[in-house]
Amino acid sequence: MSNDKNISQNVFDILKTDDQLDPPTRPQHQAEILNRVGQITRLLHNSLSELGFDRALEAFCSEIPDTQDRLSYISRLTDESADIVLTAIERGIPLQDSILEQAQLAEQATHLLLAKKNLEPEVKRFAEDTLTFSRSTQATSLESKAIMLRIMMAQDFQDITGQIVHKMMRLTEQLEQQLTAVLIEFSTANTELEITNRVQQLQNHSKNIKASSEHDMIRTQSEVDALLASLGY
Amino acid sequence: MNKNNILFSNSRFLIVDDFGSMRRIIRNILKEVGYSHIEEAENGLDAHNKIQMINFDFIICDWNMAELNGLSLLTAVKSKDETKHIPVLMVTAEAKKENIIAAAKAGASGYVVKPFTSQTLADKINSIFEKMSRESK
Repeated sequence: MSNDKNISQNVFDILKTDDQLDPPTRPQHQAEILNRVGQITRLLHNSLSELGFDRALEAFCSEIPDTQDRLSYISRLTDESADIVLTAIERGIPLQDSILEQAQLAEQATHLLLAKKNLEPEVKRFAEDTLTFSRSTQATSLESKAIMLRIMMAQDFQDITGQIVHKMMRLTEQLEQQLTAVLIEFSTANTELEITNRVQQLQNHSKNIKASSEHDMIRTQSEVDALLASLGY
Repeated sequence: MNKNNILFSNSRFLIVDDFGSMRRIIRNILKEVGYSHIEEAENGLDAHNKIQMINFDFIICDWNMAELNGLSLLTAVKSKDETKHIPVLMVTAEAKKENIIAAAKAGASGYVVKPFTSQTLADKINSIFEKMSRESK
């Protein structure tokens, strides 16, 4: 904690002195400002290392590929879900149309039958029941179709959430790139070879996390059963 | 379908959206209201290529697309003599005032904000056709 205070005090002192400078238009002061900016940068560099921020950043950075995988997984699942619903709706609507059409034909035929004279009472009663049934079938069919259309319209969530998820994926990708750049910038590595190795190490770390998270994923019931069986359940 | 728009029942539609589910929803709505000549494009560039090959009567276009966004496609359609007569209906989640103004200035015939109902879309299409019908008299 005292280390934190020292660093903060150093930065404060530098900035305080900086405030007291003359306007930066004079060349001698410009050189001094550049010198002080250099000192601040060096101080920040040392602070990051001393406080272990580089390790915290590295840990945070290594979580990003996993986050991207999860977002991608959400996007894929919602897409598949909407696809299943839309396919069912596209099959269901023509069936409802067909039921409606047949009920309308039945109603017309029954009207023709009822228009005939001297119908047997039983036939007339049966025809009237058929008429009632065909009318209620039409109403039910129309209502079912309206419900199907409402379900179809509700699938637009996939488009809206998908856009947000894609935006978040792009942002996390940019964040990962920038954080990696910061880590390289503030790395304690001194030579170009060390920096190259450090970058390689970070990239491998990300790949390993990705691979291990994929390895941890169980997608089918048979995989669950196999896992439980291997554990003796 | 509105009585005034029976004339337009054979119209050829182009649906432009980068999400397949949204294209399917719009296609199904169009079929429900009686339009059956429907093509799809998965982004602005794909749509632009299709517009060069097929004479469309109506374009329904999303805003956010990676390959040539909706506004750019709208501008491209309205900048050519061969295509500037095609009505373009923007169907998009971009509800920002500036976007709506930009679309109107670029020549969009209408603007529907997602999420929308099938009735809203059908009404918008009908009103655009009605306006075209009035203007052609």
